[in-house]
Amino acid sequence: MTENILQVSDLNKTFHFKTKSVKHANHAVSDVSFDIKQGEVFGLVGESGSGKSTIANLLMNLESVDSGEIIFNGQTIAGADSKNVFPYGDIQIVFQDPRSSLDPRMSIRQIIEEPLRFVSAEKRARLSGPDNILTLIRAVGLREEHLERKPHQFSGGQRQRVAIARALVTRPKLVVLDEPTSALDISVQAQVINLLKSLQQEFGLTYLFISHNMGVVKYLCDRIGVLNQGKLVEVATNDEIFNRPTHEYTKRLLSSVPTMFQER
Amino acid sequence: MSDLVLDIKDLSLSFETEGSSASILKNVELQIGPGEIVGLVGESGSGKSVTALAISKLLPTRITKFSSGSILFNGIDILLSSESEVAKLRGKRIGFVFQEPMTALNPTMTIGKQLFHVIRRHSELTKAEAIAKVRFHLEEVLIAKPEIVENQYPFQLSGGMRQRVVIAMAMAANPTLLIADEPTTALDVTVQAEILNLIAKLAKDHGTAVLLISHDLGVIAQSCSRVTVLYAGEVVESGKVSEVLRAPLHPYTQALIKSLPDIADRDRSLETIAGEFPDLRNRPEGCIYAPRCPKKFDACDVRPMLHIAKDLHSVSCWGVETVAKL
Repeated sequence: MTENILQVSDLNKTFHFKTKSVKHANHAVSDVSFDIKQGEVFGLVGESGSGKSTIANLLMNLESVDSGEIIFNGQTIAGADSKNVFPYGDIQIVFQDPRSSLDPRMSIRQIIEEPLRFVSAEKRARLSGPDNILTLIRAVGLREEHLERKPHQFSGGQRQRVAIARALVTRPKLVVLDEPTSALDISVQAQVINLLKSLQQEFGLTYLFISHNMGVVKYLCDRIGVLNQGKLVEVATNDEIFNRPTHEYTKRLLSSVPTMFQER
Repeated sequence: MSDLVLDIKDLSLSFETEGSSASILKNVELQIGPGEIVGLVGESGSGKSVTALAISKLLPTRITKFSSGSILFNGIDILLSSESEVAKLRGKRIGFVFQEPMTALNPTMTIGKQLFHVIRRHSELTKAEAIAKVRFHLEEVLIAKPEIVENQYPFQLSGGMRQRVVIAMAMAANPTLLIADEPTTALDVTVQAEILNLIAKLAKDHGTAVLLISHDLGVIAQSCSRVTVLYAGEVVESGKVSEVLRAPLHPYTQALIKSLPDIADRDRSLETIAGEFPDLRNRPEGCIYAPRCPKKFDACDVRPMLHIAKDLHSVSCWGVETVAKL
C-alpha cells in the first residue's frame, strides 16, 4: 500500500478585513480535506479566489490555519496538535512568476543554495557540496557557467528552471508547484513540463500541482481536486475528472475551456 | 476600392536607439473585413502588440522607424496621416480593449461617469442625452444591474465586470475596428468564455471588424474565422482557423500546436521547439525559423516570402508548395 505523504483534514482559513469600518470575512478555505500519496502528482484546480494559493501558503507555513490539521510525513505540521516545528527543506515551493521569485542581487549559485540555510547542519553538510549543486543545475537543463550569473541574464523559462533547482536543493519529499508555467510561453511551458516530469522520475518526487490550466493538469496529474470558492467540490482520478466528472462545477469548468480540438 | 476595414501591406518597422537597431516587424500582411474577427497569435516578442499599436500610431515616434509598407484603415493611409488626423480615429473609429481592465479604468471615477465622458467625447449628444445613453451601453454588454454598476467604482467590480465596462466604453462610439489585445488573459476561464461570446455578439450586431490578439490558440480557435501566426515579427502562416490550426503547414505552427499538453499522451514527453528565439537586432539572413526548424534544407538560406499554399491559406516556408504568388 502506498503511504500518504500529506494528509489535509477539515482545513479552514478566513481572512478578516475592514472597509469603511464595516467588517468583512472571506472564507478562503472551508473544510478542505485531501491526501497525497508518495510519488503521485496531485492537482488542485480552480479559478481565482477559489483558495488554491491559500492552501499552498498554509502548507508552506506562510499562513496559519484557523482550524483543521495538516499531517506531513506522519508529523502534524499545522493544527491543534502541531509542535510548531516546520519541516523546512522537506516541503518546497515553486511560484508562478520567476521574475519576482528570484532575488535580482543574488547569483544563481546563491539562489540555489539559499534553502540549505534552513535545514539541519548534518543535511546541510551533505547537500551544500559542489556535486549537489552541479547535479541540480544540469538536471534542470542549465550549465555550470550559469551559476555565477544573475537572474536578469536569463529568459523566463530559464529562470523557472533556476527556481525548480532551488526547490530541489534540499531533496524535498513534497514540492508545491503554484502555477509554475502560467507566466511562460507555450513552447517554453512544454519544456518546463517535460523537465518537471523527468525530475519527478529522477528524484522520486511527489508534487502538489496548482493550476488553472486544465490542459497542463490533464497531462501531469494523477489525481485532481477541484476547488470552488474555498470548497473542494470533487476529488477524483485524472480519468474520472476529465471523462466522467460528477460535480456541476467541474463540468462547467471543463466546458468553459476554449479548445482547438473540438468543433465550434 | 476594397471593402476591407483594415489592410496592412508589407509592413516593416524597427526600433532604433543609440547605436542599436532591432527589426521588430518584417513584411507583415493582415486584412480584416467588416464584422470579421481575425486572430493574431504568437509568443512573447513576436510583434502582436506592436502591430496593434502601429495601427493606431501609438508607437513611440522617436525610436520607431517604418521601413516599408502601408496600413490602410477604411482606405485612409495611417502612416501618411498626421498625428491629429489619427487622434480623431482613436477611440472613435478604432476602439481598444487591453488585457488588464483595472489599468484601463480610472480608479477614482464611477463607471457611469467614465462612460459618460466617452460618449460625450465621441458624439454630438447633449449632457442629458449622454447620461441617458450610459445605461444603454451597460445593458449592451449584458451587465445585469446597470443602475447599480453605473454608480460603482472599478475596485467594486470583478475582473469580468470591469472588462465588460471597458468593452462598453470601446463600443460606445461604434467603432469600425475593435482591437482586443489579450482581452481575456487576466480572466478566469468561465468568465473568459462569456467575454469572448460578448465580443462575437457585438461584432455581429454592429458589423465591427475585430483584431483579437492572443497567445492562447484555444481562444483563437473558438472566436475567430481567420488567424495570422506571427513569429519574430514575421507572418509565418495565415488563413482560415479551420485550416491553420487543424492542418497547419508551417513547421513553427505545427510545433506550437504539438507543444500543447491538452491532447498529449501522458506517457510521452511533450514536443518542444529546439533552440532559442532569434535576436531581433541581428535577424538571420534566410528563413527566420530555419535555425530551429527540423525540416530545414538548402533553400532555407534564402528568406521565403508569404505565398498561397491553398485557397486563402498562405505560408512562408520553402517546404510548402506554392499555388500562386501572393
